[in-house]
Amino acid sequence: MALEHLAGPFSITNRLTEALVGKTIAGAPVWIDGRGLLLPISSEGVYLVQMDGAAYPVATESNDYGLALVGSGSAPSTRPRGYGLSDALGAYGEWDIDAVTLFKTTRVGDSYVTLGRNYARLHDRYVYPLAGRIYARPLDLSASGTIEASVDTLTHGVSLSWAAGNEFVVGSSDGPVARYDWLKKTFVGALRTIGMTCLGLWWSAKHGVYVSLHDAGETLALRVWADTVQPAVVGTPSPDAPLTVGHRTRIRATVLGAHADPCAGEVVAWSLTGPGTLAPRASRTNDAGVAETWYDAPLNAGDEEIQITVEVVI
Amino acid sequence: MLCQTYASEVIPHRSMTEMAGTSHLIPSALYNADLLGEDGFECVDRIDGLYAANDGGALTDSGVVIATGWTRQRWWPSWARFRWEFDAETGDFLRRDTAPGGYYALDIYQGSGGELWLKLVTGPLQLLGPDDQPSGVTLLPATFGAISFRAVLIDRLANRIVMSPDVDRILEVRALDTGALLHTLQVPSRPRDICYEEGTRCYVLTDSRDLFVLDYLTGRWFGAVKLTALSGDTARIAWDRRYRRLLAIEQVTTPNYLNQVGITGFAMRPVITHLCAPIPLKRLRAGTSVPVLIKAVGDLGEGIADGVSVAATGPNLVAPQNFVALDGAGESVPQIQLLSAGDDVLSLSVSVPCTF
Repeated sequence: MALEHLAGPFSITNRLTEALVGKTIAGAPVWIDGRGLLLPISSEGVYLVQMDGAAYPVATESNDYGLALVGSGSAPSTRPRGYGLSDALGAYGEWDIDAVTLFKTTRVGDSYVTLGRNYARLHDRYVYPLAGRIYARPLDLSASGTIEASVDTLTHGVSLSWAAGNEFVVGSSDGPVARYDWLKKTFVGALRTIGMTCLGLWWSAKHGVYVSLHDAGETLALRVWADTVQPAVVGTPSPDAPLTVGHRTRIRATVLGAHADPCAGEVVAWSLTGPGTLAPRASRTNDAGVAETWYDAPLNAGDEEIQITVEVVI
Repeated sequence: MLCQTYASEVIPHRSMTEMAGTSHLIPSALYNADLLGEDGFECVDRIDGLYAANDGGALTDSGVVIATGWTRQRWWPSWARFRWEFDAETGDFLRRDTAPGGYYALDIYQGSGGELWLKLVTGPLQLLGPDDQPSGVTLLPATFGAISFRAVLIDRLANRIVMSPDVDRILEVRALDTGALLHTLQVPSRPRDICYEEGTRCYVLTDSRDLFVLDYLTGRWFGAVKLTALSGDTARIAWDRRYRRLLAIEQVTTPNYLNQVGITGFAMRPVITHLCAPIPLKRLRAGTSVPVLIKAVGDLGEGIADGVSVAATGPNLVAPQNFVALDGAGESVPQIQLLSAGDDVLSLSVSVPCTF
């Protein structure tokens, strides 16, 4: 796994009945910072799920989720219309969900609402990920989606969540997660992965962690991931130049995750067997995952072997 | 969940001597043979109203809260309608009287001015006068685009009616004089009851026991809480302005003379029911400090601002703050020092003072 696993898996349990919630997701779950994961489950309703899996029913039918997203003052939901869409969840508690909103398809009568996927409402358009592409639709929904960006490595992008600045995070059901700059209309930064399949993967901007939803056999489960890469491979220390008597030489080692992602900010401990001195004995990896120290070779060199080792301090 | 601060006595049954007439002496007058027990010749069959009448009295008067409803009784005529009064401070049962409306009454709702509105089985809503008799003012559901009234709140001063129309999970705010639709609001299940609080705010209770605060002038929701103290979908609510309590009563699903119910009251203070497992937000490394997410929620999963005690047991962890204040989302991120690698336990605790 590339990103470091922090907590979980936490089984998603209805805290009012102490029963596991069902596994059939009825629409597009969405993470809301400060609130939790809104999770529509077929035949049960919508749950608000905390990071530790504690789930609370907030709507009696999964359909209500769609209803809740229609802002106050709009047309009554009983009247047929193309889309139930809102940039505010003001009709539901006090939840301001103007970050990420949802679509639902045409409803007929008073039931059978099918929720689609996560959409992000921007100032000039809606965008949504689908099969390795980012699609855009006009705010008045007058046209169908057009491709505005592609990324081959994110073929199962399903989840959206806001990040800082002009970015949002696209989570893919096969594990990768990427950042998309919606002003530049390009993906930015390195692709990360949780190294396992999931049903949804969101970024919590408030807490700086990723939250993922998984099929855990009997039930669904949540996991929490750091935004840092878990060290898996520590490279062999290598000198910048051949070690020479009486000279000072920089020694470097690279710390990488399981998917060759650099591990930044890790503290490594250096050790030396043989003559000479090594300082500092501890250093921190840079953004490329490289840590460095310096080796001072003694003046009176002999045939003695020296061995420099490095390990990540956990 | 709300903090309970009031409980009335249960609605008492009439004794044999209190039951009018001598129909119990006539064999053919036996209607409900199951109602046979010591002091148990009747039972409350359905609660159809709950309101407080205590904001105009003298300071020394503790005021009353009143429930109205139907009883089922053993002998002819098999039913009766009553209003039961309770002391608003002590919860003592005070008196029983005939409820307004008679056989055609369906529900009683209290308007924002404290006045009572009687919903008849035939559809209209009648304004009752001080003598509990129809005042002559009648509202028809058709005026407000509905086939029949469900839960309603009427504010004559603000010219508003808040009502659940014929469709579930919808709440409408309309002009009282013209019936014009002003706001359509979504709720997670069927609105069960609406009661006035103050200003232009009201509480809305749904079948799924969610309680919402709504400003019906602006159409904005202010908050939500789960009223888990209730069990079913037959509850009525009222707001006690004097003691600032939300009152609730619900009939049990299978009424009989053993199942007696009373009125409960709640302070509008959500109570923490769950402390989430602490979640580290950074990688765990010995010799570093790690931010840990601590969160407290209520029964709707809503975060609750309070204070939580944090303690670490064992040699590897240090919790520098033993008490952390939670923000409006019920969250806080204290730093935990990791001294060395190993297993340790981080304990959270919170005190929830409720008198009942």
